Amino acid sequence: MDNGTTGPAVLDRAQLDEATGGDADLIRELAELYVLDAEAQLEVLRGALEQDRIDEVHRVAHGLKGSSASVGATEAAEAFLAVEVKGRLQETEGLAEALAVAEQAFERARAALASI
Amino acid sequence: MRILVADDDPGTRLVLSTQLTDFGHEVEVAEDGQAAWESFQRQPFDALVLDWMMPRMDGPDLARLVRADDDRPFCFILMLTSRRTTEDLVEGIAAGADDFMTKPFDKDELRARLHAAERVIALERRLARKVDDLEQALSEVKTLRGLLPICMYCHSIRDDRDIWERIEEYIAQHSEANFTHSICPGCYEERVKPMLSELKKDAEKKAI
Repeated sequence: MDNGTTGPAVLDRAQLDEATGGDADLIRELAELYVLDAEAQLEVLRGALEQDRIDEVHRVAHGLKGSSASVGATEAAEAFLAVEVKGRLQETEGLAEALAVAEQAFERARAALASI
Repeated sequence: MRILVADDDPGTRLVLSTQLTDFGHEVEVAEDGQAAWESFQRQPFDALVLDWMMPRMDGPDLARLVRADDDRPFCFILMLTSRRTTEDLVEGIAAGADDFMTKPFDKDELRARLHAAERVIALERRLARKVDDLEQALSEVKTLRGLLPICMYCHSIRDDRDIWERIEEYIAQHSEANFTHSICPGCYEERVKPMLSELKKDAEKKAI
C-alpha cells in the first residue's frame, strides 16, 4: 500500500505475504499481535521519554522497528529507526518530534492492516 | 530438529513458530533470553534462534552462557536480528553464534540456513563422539604408564596389590592386548633345537 508520497510504503504487502505465506488467518493474527504489542510498547516509549530513560527509548524503539519491519510496515519501521538511532546516540534534541512522526506512521500502518 | 526461538516480539515468535513447524521442526518459544536459558537448562535443543536485544537477557549473553555449558551436546545458534552492521556480526559470532541473519528475513533463506545447520550439528556431534572414544582409549593406555617393578631374572611384574604376576598376564589385564604363544628365532636356536636333538637321540636309543 502506498502512502501517497514517494517515501517508504505504509504497508509492504509482499513482506507480509513472505512472513505469513499469504495465509489469511495468520495475517490477521499477526496484524492483531503487532498492533496490540506496538500500542503497549508505545506507552512504555512515551514513559521512558518523559522520564529521560534514553537507554530504554533505544531498546523499545529498536523492538518496534523490528516488529514493524516484520509485518511490512516499512514507513513505521523507518520512523522507529530514527527514534532508535537518537536513543543510541543519547541525542535528546528532536527525540519527541521523531517519536511523534513514528506514532503517526504507526497509526497509518494500523489503518492499513485493518483494511486487509 | 528441536528448535528454541527467543524473541521479545510476539509477531516474530508467531511467524517463526509457524514457519519452522511448516519446515518440519519441533519448536518452543521464549519471550526473552532469561526464559530461553531456563528452557534450555530443562531440556535439550538442537538449535537456538535468538533475537539480539531482549529484556532481562539479550541474545549474545545467552549465546555466551550456552557455549560455556560443556555438559550438553553441541547446539547450533542462529542470531536473527535487525542489527546488520559488520561490527554486530563480529560481536554475535564472538559471543558464540554460528550464523547470523537479519530481519525482516526471507523464509527460503531461513530454511536453507537451517539445512546447513543440520549438517554442522551432525558433524559436531560425530566429532564429539570420536573425541570421547579417543579419551576413553587414552584412559586405558594410561593404566600402563608409570614405573613398574619388574623382576630382573624372571621378568614378573609387581602389581598395585603387591602380587608378582607374569608379564603377559599383567599386560593382558591392563590393556586391550591378548597374547598368543610363539617361539622367537633366538629361543628356537638356543632352546628348541637342543631339545629336539635330545628327543631324536632318545628315540634312536630306544630303536636299538
